[in-house]
Amino acid sequence: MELNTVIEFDKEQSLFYLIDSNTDGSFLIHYLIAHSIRSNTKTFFVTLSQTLSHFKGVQAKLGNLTSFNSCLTNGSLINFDLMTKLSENFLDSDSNEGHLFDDVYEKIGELVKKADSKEKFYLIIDDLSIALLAGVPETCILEFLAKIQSLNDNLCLVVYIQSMLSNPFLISDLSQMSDLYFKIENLSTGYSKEIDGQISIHRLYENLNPKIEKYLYKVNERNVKLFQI
Amino acid sequence: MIEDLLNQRESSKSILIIDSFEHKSTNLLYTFITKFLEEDHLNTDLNILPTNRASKLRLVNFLNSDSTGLNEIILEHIFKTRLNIFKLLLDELDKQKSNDPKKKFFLILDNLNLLLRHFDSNPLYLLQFIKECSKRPEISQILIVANQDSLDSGVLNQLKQVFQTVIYVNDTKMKQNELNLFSKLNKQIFKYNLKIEHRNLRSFKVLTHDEIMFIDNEYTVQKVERQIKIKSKLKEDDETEDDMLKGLTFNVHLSSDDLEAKKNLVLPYEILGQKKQIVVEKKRDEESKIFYAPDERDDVDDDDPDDDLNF
Repeated sequence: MELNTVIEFDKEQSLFYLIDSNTDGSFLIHYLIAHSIRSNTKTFFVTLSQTLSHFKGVQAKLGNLTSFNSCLTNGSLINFDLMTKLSENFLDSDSNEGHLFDDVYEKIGELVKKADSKEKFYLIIDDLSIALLAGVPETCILEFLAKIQSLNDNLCLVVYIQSMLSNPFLISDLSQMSDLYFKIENLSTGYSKEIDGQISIHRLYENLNPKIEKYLYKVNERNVKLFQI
Repeated sequence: MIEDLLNQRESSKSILIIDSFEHKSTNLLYTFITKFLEEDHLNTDLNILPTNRASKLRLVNFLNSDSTGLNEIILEHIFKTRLNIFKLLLDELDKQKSNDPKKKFFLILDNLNLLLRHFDSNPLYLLQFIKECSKRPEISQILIVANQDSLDSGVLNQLKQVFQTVIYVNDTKMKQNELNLFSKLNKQIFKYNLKIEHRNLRSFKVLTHDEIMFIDNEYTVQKVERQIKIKSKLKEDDETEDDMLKGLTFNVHLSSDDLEAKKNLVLPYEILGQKKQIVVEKKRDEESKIFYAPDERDDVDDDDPDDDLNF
């Protein structure tokens, strides 16, 4: 089955997606960007690991380049390039990594306040572990996320984090703050040509029974195939 | 025990529920809330204090969009300000109490880990807050949920000391026979394997209970099984010891003669402290001499070696 049949982002009620990956799980970020472009949802895209041209290239492969560019020009997709800011801060001895997200918060705050109260937003952060490696304190990250969440109840947060580069305690705390938790892992049996890895989806939004769905996945040129375990 | 705690038959001023990502205690927490709402509590206000937005939305969903009991004071300030959120909460309760002196409060905090994070993982503020709540007569009960996955064991041990009751949530997976047991009910059943450590304030004893609780999707307790683990464990230990002795290639058993000899044997430590022994010791002191047999290579010097010390 295809990824969009398993996770119907249009109907999804969750407001905090946490993507915890110990392998390359960026396909889910590309998929979500493609979804936000197609659904014309206002998206704030915070890049820490790759440049915007990298994401443009991937969207071009997925056949979304024109809509990606038009979203950038009409302001429905806003990019916050923190990767460049981090490298600038690295050279600046007076910089304080604790304030890395301050500008992002202020700008998003202004845009959300101006918007219609029912409008939906996505805030995609790729990837949070780079900020941690650059020395941003964990409390500052939680502060940023808490502030962002308090802006609007229609703002959906998508956070990508690599478990190998982050404190497991932080990931555990973030998972408690999330509604939809994706854990992307390598195959436990080793390398395979047919399968790239396995993905577990924890739906924490449901009160009674947090369901765990496990799939094997294969990333193809234009889509992601899932096989239920 | 869990039923007594839910029904307030066994009073506990402070309860800590320790769960994990695999074995979440959300339904148990909701059972506590449901039980409280079902019964009439004169002048006792329910204060559910979510620590994050996801938790708040889940609680709103659980309370059927009726926000009765939901207090967002912690959610408003956690991580966003550097203020002492516990002080803010206690101040707010004081205000409410000044309007109605008879008012009591039942406090529920859904995430201890995030509260600790707010104070840079320093447990001091939380310890003080729990102690303060335990002292205050207007706080009838405080219930906090902690996730052990992201808690340092040392901090967790410290925190456990200030709570009157600690509930560990372990296995939540239903076995086939348990599924069969409730199949006729046509309800979704959730299992909780609980270990409860409760400090009785009258006897000052810490009682440990192992219980399995089954609750349905309406948060009603269906069944509670008490487990007696200690006896079964002892039995298992005995069996394994016997099994170990069976396959030996040498004799470890004692015959009647061996036992008799063992009984008659007086070991040195048994003589110590007896009068005879003391006399022998004294005699030895008086008559003791040093016999020195010099070695071939020894350079024996008759001079007093301490001559230069002017004794």
